[in-house]
Amino acid sequence: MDAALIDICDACKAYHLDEVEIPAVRGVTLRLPAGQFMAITGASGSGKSTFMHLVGCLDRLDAGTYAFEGQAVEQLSRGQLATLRNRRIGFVFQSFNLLARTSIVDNVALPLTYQGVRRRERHRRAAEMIERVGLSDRSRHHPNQLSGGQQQRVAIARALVTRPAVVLADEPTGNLDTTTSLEIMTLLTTMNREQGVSIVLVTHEPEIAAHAQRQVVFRDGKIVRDTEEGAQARRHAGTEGAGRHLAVEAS
Amino acid sequence: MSPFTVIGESLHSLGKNKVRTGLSILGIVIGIAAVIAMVAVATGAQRKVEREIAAIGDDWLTIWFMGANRGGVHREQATPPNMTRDDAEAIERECSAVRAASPTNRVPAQVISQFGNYRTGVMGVYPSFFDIRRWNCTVGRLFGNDEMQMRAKVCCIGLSSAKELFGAVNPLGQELRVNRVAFEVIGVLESKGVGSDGRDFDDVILFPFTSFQRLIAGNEPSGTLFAAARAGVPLATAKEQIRTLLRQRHHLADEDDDTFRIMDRSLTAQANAEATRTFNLLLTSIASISLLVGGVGIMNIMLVSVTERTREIGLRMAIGAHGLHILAQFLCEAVVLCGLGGLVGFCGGWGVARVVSTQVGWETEVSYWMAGVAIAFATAVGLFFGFYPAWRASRLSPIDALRYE
Ligand SMILES: Nc1ncnc2c1ncn2[C@@H]1O[C@H](COP(=O)(O)OP(=O)(O)OP(=O)(O)O)[C@@H](O)[C@H]1O
Ligand SMILES: [Mg+2]
Repeated sequence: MDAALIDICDACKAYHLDEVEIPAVRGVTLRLPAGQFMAITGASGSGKSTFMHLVGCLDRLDAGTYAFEGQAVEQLSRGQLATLRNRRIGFVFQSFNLLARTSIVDNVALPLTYQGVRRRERHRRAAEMIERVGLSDRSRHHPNQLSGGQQQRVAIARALVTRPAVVLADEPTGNLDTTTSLEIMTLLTTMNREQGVSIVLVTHEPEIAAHAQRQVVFRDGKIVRDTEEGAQARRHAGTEGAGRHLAVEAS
Repeated sequence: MSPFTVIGESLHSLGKNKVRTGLSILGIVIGIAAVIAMVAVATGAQRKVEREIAAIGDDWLTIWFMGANRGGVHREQATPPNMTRDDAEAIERECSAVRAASPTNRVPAQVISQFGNYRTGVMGVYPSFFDIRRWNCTVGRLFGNDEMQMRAKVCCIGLSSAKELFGAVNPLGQELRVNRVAFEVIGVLESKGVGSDGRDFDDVILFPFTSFQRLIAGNEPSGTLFAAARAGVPLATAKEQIRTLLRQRHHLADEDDDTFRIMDRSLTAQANAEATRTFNLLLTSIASISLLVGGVGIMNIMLVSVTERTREIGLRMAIGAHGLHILAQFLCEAVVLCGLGGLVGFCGGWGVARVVSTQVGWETEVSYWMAGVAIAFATAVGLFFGFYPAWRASRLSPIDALRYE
């Protein structure tokens, strides 16, 4: 059996607010092969973002197991997690999260500074990435001089500059209009195809999700539909049958 | 991540908000500036005292007669009415701690030359007086024992007196008259400037003691004695030996009080040292308080900065910054901030010292090592007060920081 890039089994995560437990992810099992482009959809509050944080090693599982490239994530220290995020995972956020009053090159090069890459090399690689997202002429500009779509391209360049194994994008088009959203999706699809980087994308819009090879639907902290039959079958063996009529509902 | 990258990032993020950066270092700037200015004034005062000591020495004593003892005890035997040259000679001969001793006599007189005249105090001294008070000649020579023996009509003259009497004329070989007796100027004394009490050391005319007693003072008894300690011998030892000897020579009984007083140059020096110590203590406490206030200001601004930039911290952690990177970044910002404050404060203090010099007229001195100390100190303050905010930043959980509104 080939080692999946991401192998999550029965992941659970709950938040605690004033003694009240709010379960956000309730037993999710998911395997993501390297190079796959997967979209996650689901109602608001269904635990998509929480799940993405778990996948992105920003938060720890309450229960279940998580192996990233065969490595058990639970056993890693805070520092090791930071290194893992830095080298193997790229993030794209809904609100771009670029550093203000910092040039585009420096924004894109930021992950490389934490790898100890030298300034010149940093800038070379950042410039290369900026060119690939088509913003070469803006690399000396600051984020506030760019449109939302351009800012998101910068964020994508930043996510890809370290050549990670996977890019996690939580509603990357949430703040953008339809045309710009399409441009961003085209860019992500291209990167997925050309660089072979896996992409996990969270979105509310079915048209956006349609760009991905695989669609996963969340509801109440669980996966209720997965276009990849094998994975679904495996899950059926382990858990409930609630997913079936939800899948019918969705179609 | 190289140190240069960290420092570069700190400078960059401090540069993003220049007004705030400027305001936040104000406390440190004022603290350091105040300290530098005060140290400059203190150093200037210290230099002045040191120059005076170098000019007139601090290893000599003056001894003068106080009159008969008090205490109501009437004594039969006559006490010598004053300090005499015999006393001085005995001191030089018998006190092992004494290098030289000289009787002196000083009287006010009208001094007349071909070019002018003025009233001043004139003095008769032994040649050893030159050694005791460190007088040297710039032009001509000092009088010696021969002139003493022969009661030569010669004198040595200070620069200020020379100016009064001879103006621009070279006084060497010229005559000056006191009590209608003509004396030849054989030496011009090197300048010693003005003392810390404002007295002009160069307003002086010295005559051989013998000639002086006979021709000017009219055998008036000697006044004050001067004595200098041997090199390396404490002045107190010399003082004690002289006291014992004089009590013996003046036939004082054990219960009698001294009929003379010995003034110790080093007491003045000690008083100076004491004042310097007090001043330093004051300085240190003001420095500590102002730096404490400045440091708390820095801590405050850093805490605000950490809160404001929580999302940035979250992002940095998400893309791979370790806690240590975040700690280093914020600590470095605090240190750079304070170092900058130290530098600006040093320049400010220097400016204040210059203004004090030119406007108030006090002597001040700023040395370059003080810049180093100021910056090092400010940097240490930055390290100390920047640590807590930086540590807080580094302990943030990436996910909470990212979600922070
Ligand atoms: N920090 C938090 N503290 C407490 N509860 C939280 C927190 N974050 C999320 N939750 C809760 O966890 C559940 C899942 O939230 P999550 O953000 O993962 O949903 P989502 O699918 O991303 O929703 P959306 O589509 O609106 O972004 C929700 O019920 C939410 O209220
Ligand atoms: Mg969400």
